[in-house]
Amino acid sequence: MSEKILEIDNLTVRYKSGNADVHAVNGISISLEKGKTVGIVGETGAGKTTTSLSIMNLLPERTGRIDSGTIKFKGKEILDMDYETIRSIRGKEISMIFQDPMTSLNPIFTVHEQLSEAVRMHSNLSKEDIDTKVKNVLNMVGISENRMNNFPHEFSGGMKQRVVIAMALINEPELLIADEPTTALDVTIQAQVLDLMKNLKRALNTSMILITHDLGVVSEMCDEVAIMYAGQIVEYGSLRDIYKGDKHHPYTVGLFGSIPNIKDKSKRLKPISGLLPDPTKLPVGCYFQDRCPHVMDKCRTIHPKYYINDNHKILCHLFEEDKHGQ
Amino acid sequence: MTNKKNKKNKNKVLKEEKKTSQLKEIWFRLKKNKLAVMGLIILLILILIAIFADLIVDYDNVVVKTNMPERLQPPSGKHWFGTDEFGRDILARIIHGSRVSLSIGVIVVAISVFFGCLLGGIAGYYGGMIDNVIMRIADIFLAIPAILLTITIVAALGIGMTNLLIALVIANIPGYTRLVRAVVLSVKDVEYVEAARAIGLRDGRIIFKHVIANCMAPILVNATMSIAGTILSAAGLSFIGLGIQPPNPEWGAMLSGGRQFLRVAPHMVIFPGIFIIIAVLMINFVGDGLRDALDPKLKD
Repeated sequence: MSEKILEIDNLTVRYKSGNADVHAVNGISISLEKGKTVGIVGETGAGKTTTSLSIMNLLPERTGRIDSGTIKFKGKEILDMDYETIRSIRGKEISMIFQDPMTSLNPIFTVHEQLSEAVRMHSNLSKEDIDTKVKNVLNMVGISENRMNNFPHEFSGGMKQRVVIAMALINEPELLIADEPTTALDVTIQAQVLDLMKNLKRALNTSMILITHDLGVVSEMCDEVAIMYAGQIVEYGSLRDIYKGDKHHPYTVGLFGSIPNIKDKSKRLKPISGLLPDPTKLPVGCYFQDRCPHVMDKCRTIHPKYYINDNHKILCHLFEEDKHGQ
Repeated sequence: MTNKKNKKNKNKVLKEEKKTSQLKEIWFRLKKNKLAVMGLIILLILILIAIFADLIVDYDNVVVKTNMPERLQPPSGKHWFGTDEFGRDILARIIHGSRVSLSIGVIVVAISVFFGCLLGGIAGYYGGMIDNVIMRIADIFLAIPAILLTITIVAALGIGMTNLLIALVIANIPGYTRLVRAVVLSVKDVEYVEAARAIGLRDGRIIFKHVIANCMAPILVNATMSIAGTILSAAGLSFIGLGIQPPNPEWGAMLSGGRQFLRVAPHMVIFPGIFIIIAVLMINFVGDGLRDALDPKLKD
């Protein structure tokens, strides 16, 4: 019905670190339709940011390497594009909001200079046109245009993040990658920024990849959710599948168990014990085996396959008996 | 109506103030450093003298023309700083010499900073092989004492103002390359550089607009200081006869010329020497002050 804007298939990324290879992303597949939002959730080091950098082809040149897989943006393979083509897509068709608004603006240029540079890179508009564009986008994110000649340090954290969002949206991209856009902000500002992003997304019909470790943010923003663990998507499904469905990956259950619940009378949270496996030597079998409460013998030897029910995928041996797909 | 206009004007004024606030703050901090202010004032005077040297003394008739009857005179009312072995007024020659000395300092440093930024920026930003090649070549140059290097280059290229400049620039570039690379390394992994890549900027623009601009403080301080060093080197080269050639006045060359008459006419050496010292010292004061003013940690 609607066109696919982004298709990632079996993406594998490795980092070279000394002698060891860090297996950051191990065969993930995501597809995203126009106007939809997919949330990527997972703990620190699960490979979320690496995935998003791969989409922009911005991995650190000498250490990061994409081993296999394809990333198709509007049907065109990103990984095969030459420098000039990918450069013309960055910031125009795909743009990115970074984690930390405090450092993602250049301290020595005014907001106006930085925003207009983003426009100038991708069009031949006249100075006046760029000016109006900058003013419009600043109005859109709720910053008064007579502050556009201020330097970043003259803004508060929330306002800086708005400027960063404005910079990402100024060329009206078709795909927006938001890498933990609210992590560095306090809760009241978080809500404002999320509201803002939601409205803008609706107004511009932008597709979005939202990277976060906050399940509350996901339920607010996303249509589909991918739960990442050790470079793999362990569960993928619609918002309803993940939040309401009856079958879950043990990791997802653990994640939800780690959120305080106001209705729950129990005194303690139920966190997942242990840490992510060492990405330089991932275990044989399921990567979650050491932390899983339902671990079975075959989890230690055989890597699980996806249990597939419609659009809901779970990477776990628990559900293999009643598997529908492969 | 008028009210609205007033408001608009007020806004404009506010904006202007904001835009210059950073420079203003640096200036404010520089102003508190008395030595730096003194250095700045004296340097300004020297620069003005250099610019208007032709209006102050006539080059052809006073500075280079010999005047044998008045040779080797001590300082007097007519010749404040005395005269040299050809009867030329030392003050007049110092005034015209300032042109050569100061401009050598500024030109050499400007050119070497430019190339240093270019090479250091590329080496620091790209890293890897390119970095290795550029920095090892710089190391080779740095391994040779600067004065020997310049002497060799001048000797190879031939004596003259242009060749002197070329030699000094070549001797200065490796140091700047090293400095710029170091600061670029500390800046290039900051998120706004990644953000600049994410909005689709070209590498060249990122290096020279976003990265180098953020490294300007240490480069500026270093450049100011090394103007002084360059003036000294140029004077040194002139002193050993490889720099500016007679009869053109240059402070180092004047020192050199006065050497043989040290016993009978010490003023021939003393006055050019004093001017070299003053220029170098004042530039260093300004550089020191700039370093303090540009360092936000020393803010009070």
